[in-house]
Amino acid sequence: MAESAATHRAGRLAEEARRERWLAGQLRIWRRKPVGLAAFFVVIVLVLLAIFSPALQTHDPVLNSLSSVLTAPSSEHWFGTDPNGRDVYSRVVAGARVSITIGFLAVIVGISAGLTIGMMSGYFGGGGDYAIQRVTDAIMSIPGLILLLAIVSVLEPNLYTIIFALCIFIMPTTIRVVRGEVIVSKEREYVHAARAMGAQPLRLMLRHILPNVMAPILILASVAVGQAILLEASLGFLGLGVPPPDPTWGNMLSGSNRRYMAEAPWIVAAPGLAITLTVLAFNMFGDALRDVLDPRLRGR
Amino acid sequence: MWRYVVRRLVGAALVLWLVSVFVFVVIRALPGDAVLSALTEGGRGVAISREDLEEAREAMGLNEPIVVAYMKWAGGFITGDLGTSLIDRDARVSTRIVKALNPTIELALLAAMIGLPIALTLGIVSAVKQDTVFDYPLRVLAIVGISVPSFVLATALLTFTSITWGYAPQFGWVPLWEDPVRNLGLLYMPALILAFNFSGTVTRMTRSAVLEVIREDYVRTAHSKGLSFAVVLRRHILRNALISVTTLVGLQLVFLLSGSLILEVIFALPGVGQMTFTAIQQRDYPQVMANTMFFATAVVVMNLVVDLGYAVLDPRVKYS
Repeated sequence: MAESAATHRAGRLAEEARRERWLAGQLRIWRRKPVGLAAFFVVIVLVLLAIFSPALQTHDPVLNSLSSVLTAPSSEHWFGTDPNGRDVYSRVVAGARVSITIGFLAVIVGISAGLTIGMMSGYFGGGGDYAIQRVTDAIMSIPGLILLLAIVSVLEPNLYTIIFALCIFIMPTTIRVVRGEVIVSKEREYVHAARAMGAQPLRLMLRHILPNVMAPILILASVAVGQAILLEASLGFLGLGVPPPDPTWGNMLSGSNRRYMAEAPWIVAAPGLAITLTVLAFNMFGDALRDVLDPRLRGR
Repeated sequence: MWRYVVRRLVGAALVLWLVSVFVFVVIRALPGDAVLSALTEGGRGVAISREDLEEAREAMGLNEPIVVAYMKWAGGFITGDLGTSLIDRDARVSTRIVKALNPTIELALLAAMIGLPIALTLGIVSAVKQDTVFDYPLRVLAIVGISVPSFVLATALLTFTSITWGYAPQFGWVPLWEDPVRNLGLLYMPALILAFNFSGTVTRMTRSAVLEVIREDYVRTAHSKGLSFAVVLRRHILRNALISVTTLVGLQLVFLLSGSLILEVIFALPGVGQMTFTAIQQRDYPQVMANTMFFATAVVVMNLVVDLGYAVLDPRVKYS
């Protein structure tokens, strides 16, 4: 009994040491990834911006004001005002909440659903797997923007239908990546060993296979948030996003703003930069994450 | 080999069938009287006669059970007749697609002609000079290329040229054979923007494909035999890397067709993308369904070509 307690304790110490080494290794790698780290900070700033959006707005983002139409950036209106006299800075900050909410919710729901289906599909195989694969092929053969436009226009564009449509867009890729990883993992010795010891499929999937899938999923998720935000902005630009007057980065670049963009470039500069920086940050973070989490691909 | 070809053909047909079911079900799932709202919101309708409504319902197969309607519609897909447009009611949707192909294809080809040589070169340089001062800026440029939305880039370019040079590009469309100069004048800006997004993706793909090969044993062997770097690059690295580049780029090419949707809208080019968008706005459902099928078919066919091409190009591929 005493002996087993000692072994247990030794095991725990070894585990702790291993964790510390892992952490030190992570720090060392991230220090060599300044771009990825910078991208990570941009992502954090964006999330904070979305959370505290109302508190950070200096003006009401949807209140028209005829006395201050198309004024240039000033200490009163940091990014100037638009053709309706609305404060561009406040609208960009309000738009951040829409974009980040849609991006994160769509990715969380889409990836969770894709993860579940992909695990089942890869683990059990057979006819169900074949059917799921062909359905994902079918959805993936419709170009993203066309798929989104079609679904959103049929359902009426609003926050929830856009998130739903983005989920449909994200799921096939997730299913494919997870399935591939599961098919490789389930033939590993330790999975066979666990099965021989009587572990049930659910336990095998959650305890032994899922950890292998987490790295590719995190990378995929980071890039998918960027893609989702880009597609949402595209919908907004085309007038099929979250309906006005609610500001989104996409709809700030369209409509009457386009008529005035030559005289008042600030009305399009701020939202345009916001979209670009956001998508860029998520893509760069995803790239760095791939280097860190997948040593086989380091630097590729 | 032939068994592989047949299996891929069957798979492609199956996927297209699934797409058609998906498209049909989504459009049929429309709430309310879709046809009525299509006709009233579609711009035409001030007063809609009962006959008009009945005719449109008949055309969309709304008076029939869903399975029968699907069979008729999908049958039309094989003969190339997917019904008539609800808005432009004298025109078949398929004829309208064919008419709109010209600007879309020219824009895609132009973008590919500009983007491909640049992206391939940059991708190869970036890989060969991995982790050097050449590599870093190219990697950043490539990731910027995939991150900047085309409509942001278009807005920035239009605003910038207008402010600095008071220059406003022409919008609209003239076929190449009617007035080549004016045609290129209308197309160069959207083509450059599309090429920028496209080359971002291609540069990254080329870079990782070349890096994959550079680490192979036979490349090290070639170096240690004393071959010059140029020979190793041309004969050992590029020959192998370009197999996967070809297939990846092939798929990207087909996405140029749909990727130009927003640019066609901004630059008023009457292509398939813009028509799809207008059809969605006008709720011209037969047209939306046909255009979606068109884009999906292009992707599926390209996938098939790429897979089979891969098998032909790379003798190491096993047809399993």
